[in-house]
Amino acid sequence: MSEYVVEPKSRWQLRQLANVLRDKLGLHDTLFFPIVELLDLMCELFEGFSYEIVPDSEFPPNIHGDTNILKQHIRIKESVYNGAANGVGRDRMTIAHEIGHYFTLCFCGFTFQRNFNKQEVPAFQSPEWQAKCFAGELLIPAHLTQNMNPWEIEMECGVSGKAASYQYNIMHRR
Amino acid sequence: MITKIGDFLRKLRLDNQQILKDMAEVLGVSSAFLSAVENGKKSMPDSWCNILKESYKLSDDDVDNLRQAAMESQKSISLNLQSASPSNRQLAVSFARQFDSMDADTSQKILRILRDRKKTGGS
Repeated sequence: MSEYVVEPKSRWQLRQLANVLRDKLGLHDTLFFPIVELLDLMCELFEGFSYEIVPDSEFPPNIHGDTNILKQHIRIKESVYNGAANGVGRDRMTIAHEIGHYFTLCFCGFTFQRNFNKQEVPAFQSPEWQAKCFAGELLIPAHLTQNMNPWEIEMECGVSGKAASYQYNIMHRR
Repeated sequence: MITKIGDFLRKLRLDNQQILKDMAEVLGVSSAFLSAVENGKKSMPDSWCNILKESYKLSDDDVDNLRQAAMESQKSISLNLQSASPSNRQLAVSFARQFDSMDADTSQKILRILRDRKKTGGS
């Protein structure tokens, strides 16, 4: 159950957002997105943004990072950061996911509210789905990968096999 | 949350097309430790000035800026009183006690004394 409800955004809208970021960075045609490098760049580009690499012991085992919306501060677990720096697809996606929270909620200012009634939240209104969708679209851009198979996507974009297959299925569903 | 030393170090690695992990390896520390320094949770070790100067070919002006940034980012200062004379010990303790309530005029006077002493060759 999602703790928050965000204003509705479609995959198409989040794809546009990811592509705007790519274009602004001059990375429209780049398959392997430099997600670790982006963290430092964001500190330069977006006033108030900061990030921190935190020892693994400070996070519960199943949590890999978090984003404080009010402080515009992203925390990444050290093993995840080092993994992403070494090109591990799953870790690269985790960083993209947290950046997704920042972009949707802090930068774009999508409005959100607490889900006090614990109602079922549709995917397109869930902050977790929106961040996941943004991350997938950022690291696996449809305009560059639509003619690739999942294995090629995994290799070229530096993502996990699971993420490559997920995004492939979305691009080819009828 | 980023401190002045964090800004300095980030710009330095961006100029050198490095990421935080690369700089942490140059400094011989973990990514988390370097990040803690940048976020003001740990003080910058003194040895970093020389390592950074050598590794990134910093000018004397750059090193001065680095030291200034490190000083401005520091949250606490510790003094080793073990071998201090009784009068120096007394000075340190009364300074620490009055530090929070010290007015700008008094701190300027103390700074002037220390700077004059430095100019005349005091250590």
